[in-house]
Amino acid sequence: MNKINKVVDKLINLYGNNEPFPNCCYLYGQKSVGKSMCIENFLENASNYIESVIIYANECYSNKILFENIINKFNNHELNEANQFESFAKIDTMEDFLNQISMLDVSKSYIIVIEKAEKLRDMDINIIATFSKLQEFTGLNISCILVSHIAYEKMSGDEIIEIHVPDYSKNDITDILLNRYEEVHEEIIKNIKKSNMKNEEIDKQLEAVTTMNEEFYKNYLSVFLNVFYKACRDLKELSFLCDKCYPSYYNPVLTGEIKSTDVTNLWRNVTKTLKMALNTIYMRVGNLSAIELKSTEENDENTFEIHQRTNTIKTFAQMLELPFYAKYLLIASFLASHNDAKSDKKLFMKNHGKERKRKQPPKVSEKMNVQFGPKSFTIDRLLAIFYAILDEKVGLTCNLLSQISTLVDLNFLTFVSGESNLMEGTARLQSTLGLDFVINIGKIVGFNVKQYLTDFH
Amino acid sequence: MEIGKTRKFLKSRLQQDTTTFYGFENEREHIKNLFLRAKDGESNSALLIGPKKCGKTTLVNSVLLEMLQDKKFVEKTLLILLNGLIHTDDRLALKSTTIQMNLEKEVEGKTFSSFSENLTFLLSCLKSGKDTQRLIFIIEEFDLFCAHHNQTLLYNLFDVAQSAQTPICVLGITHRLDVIELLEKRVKSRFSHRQIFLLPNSDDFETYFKIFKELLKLPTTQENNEYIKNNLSIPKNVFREIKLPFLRRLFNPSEYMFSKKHITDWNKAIDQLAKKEKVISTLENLFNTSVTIATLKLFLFQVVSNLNETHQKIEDNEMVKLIENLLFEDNKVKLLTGLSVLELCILIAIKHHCEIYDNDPFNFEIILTRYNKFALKSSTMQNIDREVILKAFENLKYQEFIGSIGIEGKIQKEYQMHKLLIFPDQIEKAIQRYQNLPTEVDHWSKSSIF
Repeated sequence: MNKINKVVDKLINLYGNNEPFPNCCYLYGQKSVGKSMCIENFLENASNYIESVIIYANECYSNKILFENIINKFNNHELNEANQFESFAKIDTMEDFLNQISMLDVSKSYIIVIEKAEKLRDMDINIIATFSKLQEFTGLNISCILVSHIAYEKMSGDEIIEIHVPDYSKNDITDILLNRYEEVHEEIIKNIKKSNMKNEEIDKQLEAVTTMNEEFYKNYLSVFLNVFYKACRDLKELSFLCDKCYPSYYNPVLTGEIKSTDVTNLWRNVTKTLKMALNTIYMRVGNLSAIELKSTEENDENTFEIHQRTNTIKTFAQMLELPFYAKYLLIASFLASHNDAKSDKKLFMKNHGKERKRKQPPKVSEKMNVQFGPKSFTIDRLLAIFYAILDEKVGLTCNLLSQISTLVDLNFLTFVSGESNLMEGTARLQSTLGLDFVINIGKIVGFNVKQYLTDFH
Repeated sequence: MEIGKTRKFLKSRLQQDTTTFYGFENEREHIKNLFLRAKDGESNSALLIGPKKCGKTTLVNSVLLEMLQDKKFVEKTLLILLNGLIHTDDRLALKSTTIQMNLEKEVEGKTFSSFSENLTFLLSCLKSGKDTQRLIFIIEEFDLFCAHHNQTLLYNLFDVAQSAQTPICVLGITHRLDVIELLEKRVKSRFSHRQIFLLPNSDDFETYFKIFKELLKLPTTQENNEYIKNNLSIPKNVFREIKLPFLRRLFNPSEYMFSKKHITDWNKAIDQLAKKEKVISTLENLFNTSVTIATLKLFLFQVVSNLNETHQKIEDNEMVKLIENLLFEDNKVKLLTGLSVLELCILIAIKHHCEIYDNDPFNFEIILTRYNKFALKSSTMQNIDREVILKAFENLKYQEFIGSIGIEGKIQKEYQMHKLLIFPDQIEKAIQRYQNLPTEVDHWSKSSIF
C-alpha cells in the first residue's frame, strides 16, 4: 500500500543506516490502519543495521517485565528450559535497566518499539520520561518508537517527532478486501466439494462458482461497504463481517435462482441480511443465520423500520419466561426507579385529591428521568406500586416475596445497600432494565408503561 | 555520496553534539567557577533552574567537557551523577553513590543505623588517602528528590556542604522555578541560596536565526580544527576513568571529510535559503511558539532526514510546510477524520449537548436520545441498533475523545456520566475535512435543529 510505504520511508529517513537516531518517535493513527505493519516493514528493511525489540505495553503489568524483555532481546537471550526460564539479568529498578543497556555494544544501533504506548501512563511516571531520553542516559545510539492510537498530548511527554499513519479510505478498504478474493473463492469451492449433495448438484454448483469472478466479488464489496462503512471503519471487523455475509450474496447464484450478472436482484436479496448484520458489529455473533431466520419471519408482519430497530430487544422480551407477577414486579421496579417518590400519589391513586390548577410553564427541559439512570427504592415502595398497578388482589405471600430474590438473581434488580437486612425493610434496590425492554414486557401483560412515567406526562 | 555524508554529518551534529551550548556566558561562567572552586576544596551548593528543554544539561555538559581537559580537575574531583527519574528514592540514590565512588567493597557487610551515618562513612573513606578527593554531586530533576521521605538525601548533602567537613559541591538541576519552596525548612536553611537561572530570551530572534544557519552549514577546515582543539583535547585515560554517558559517543567532526567545493556550495545554498522571506517568517513563527534550541534542532533533524540522492537540497517550500505542519496541524483532528460516520454523528450530538447545556456532563442515554432525533429523520443513518451505537460511544471513549467522570463501575455504563475531552471546534474542523460525509450530517452539525 502506498500510504504504508510513505510512513516506512519516513521512518527509514529518520533512522538511516549508520546515522544517529532521534531520541524518540511517536507513531499514531486510528486503530487497525496498519501501524504495526509500518513498524514491521521498517524493521525488516533495516534489520541489517538495527537491533530491535517490540514490546506490548499492555503485557507489562510490572516494570520488571518491561525491562527484562528488552534486555533479553538485546542480548539474544531466549527463555528456555536450559536456563530455567530465567531472564538474562535480574532487573528491578530503572537504574539496573539503564546499566544493562549501557553495557551493550556502543558501535551498534538499537530501537525499542513500544506498542499500546498509552498503557505506559499507568506505569511509573518515570518510564515515559526516561524512555524518551535513553540516549542521554546511556550514550548509545538508541531510540524508542511509541505506537498508540491516541494523540500525543495525552501522553504528557516532551516534544518528540510525531508521525501520523493516515487512515484507509473506502477505496483502500475495497482494495484490501479484494486482495482476499482468491482465498475466499477457493474456500467456497472446498465447501461445495465437502458437502453431501448429489454429484450432479455439486457439478452444477461448481459451474455456478466459475461465473463468480472478481467483478462479482467487487460488486458485493461495494454493496457491503455501502451499508457498513458508515458505522464502522475498523478493517478487522469489516473483513470478519464481510466473510460472514458473503454466503447470503452468492447462495442464490449457486442454486440458480439469480444469475451472477443480475446485480440488482442480488442486491435486493442481500440487503436484509446486511441490515441484520449491521446490528451485530463488534458483537461477533457466531451464527448469523439464527438471527436472520427470526427476522425474516417477523418482517412479514411488521414492515415498519422502527420496529426492526427494537427487534432484538423485543424478541428477548418475548422469550423471557417469567411468572405473571414477576413481570409486574419488573415493571413496578422500573417505575419505582424512574419516578420520583413525590409523584407516586398522583400516578397511582385514584383519588389523589384536587389537582390545583396552577398555570405551569410548559416543560422546556429535554432532560428526562429515564436518561439519568435508575434511582434506588425500598421494598415497601416496590410492593405498594406493584399492588397499585395490578388489578387483581393477591396476598402478600412468601411466594411473591421470593420472586423478588429471583429477579435479583437474574440481575434485573440489584441491591444498592442493605443486602443483609432484607426483612427489616431498609434494603434499597434498583432496576437495571432499559425503557424499551420494559415497554415490551408491558405489552405482553397488557400494561401501558409510559402512562405511568412522569417523563411522558 | 557527498549528500549522504552531509546528511549524516548534520544529523550527528544535531543529535550527538550535547556539549555545545549557545549564549548565557555569565551563567556558564558561574557554573564553571563553581566547579573550579570545588576543585580547590571549597564546599558549595547551587541550583540551576530553567524551563524544560532550555539546555540546562547541555550547559553543564559543556562546562564539564572543558573541565575534563584539565588534568588536575580529573585527578582531584569525583563526579557523582544522580537523576530524580532514575533514583526514585534515597536508598537507591545512596546505593548508586556508593557504586559511583567505587566503595562497594568497603560498605559490604556493614549495617548503618541511619542515612547520615552511611553517608559520613562514605565520605570518611575518601579521606583516608593523602589528599581528599573533592566530590561534585550533579543532581538532575532535583525537584523529584524534594518529594522523597523527609528529604533525607538533600538534607545530608547540604549539611555536609555547609559544615565543610568534607569538600563537596552540590549542583541541582531542575525545571521548576519554585523549587526553593519545595524544600523543607531545615533543608532550606542549609542551602546556600545560590540560584542560577537560565531564562531563554524571547526577543532575540537574531541569535536564534544565526544558530539556525550555523546548524545547517558545513564547517570549514579551520572551524573544524578550532572545535577539535576546544572540545576534544581530553586525555585518553579520562574516557576510561570517567563514566559520563555523553563521553561515550562524543561528536567528532574530523570523522567527516568533505571536498572544499562541496562545503562552499552547500553553505552558499544555505545562505540563499536563509535569505528567503518565507523561511524567515515561518521560522519566526516557530520561535514565537518555542524559543528553545531543542525545538529548533528537532525540527531541523526532520528537515535533514528528507535529504537523499534524488533530493539534494533543502527546499524552502518543504521547510515552510513542515513548520506549518508542526505548528498548526492538530493531531486530534487527524484522528477525528478517521472515525466512522456513526462515531462522528455521536460526537456531533455531544457537541450540541455541550453547547445547549453549557458543557454539562452527559451519559449515553442522553446522547442517544439526541442522536435518534436526527437518525429517525435522516436517510443514511437509519437502522443502526442501540448496541452498535453504544459500541461506537465506547470507541470514542477508548480513543479518549470523551472521558468518564466519577468512579466507574458503580452505575450501569449507559448512565455513567462523561465529559468531552476535545474542543467543539476540533470537531467542526474534522467535519470540514471529512471525505464523503453525507450532506445531512454536515447540516446537522451546523445546527441542532434538524
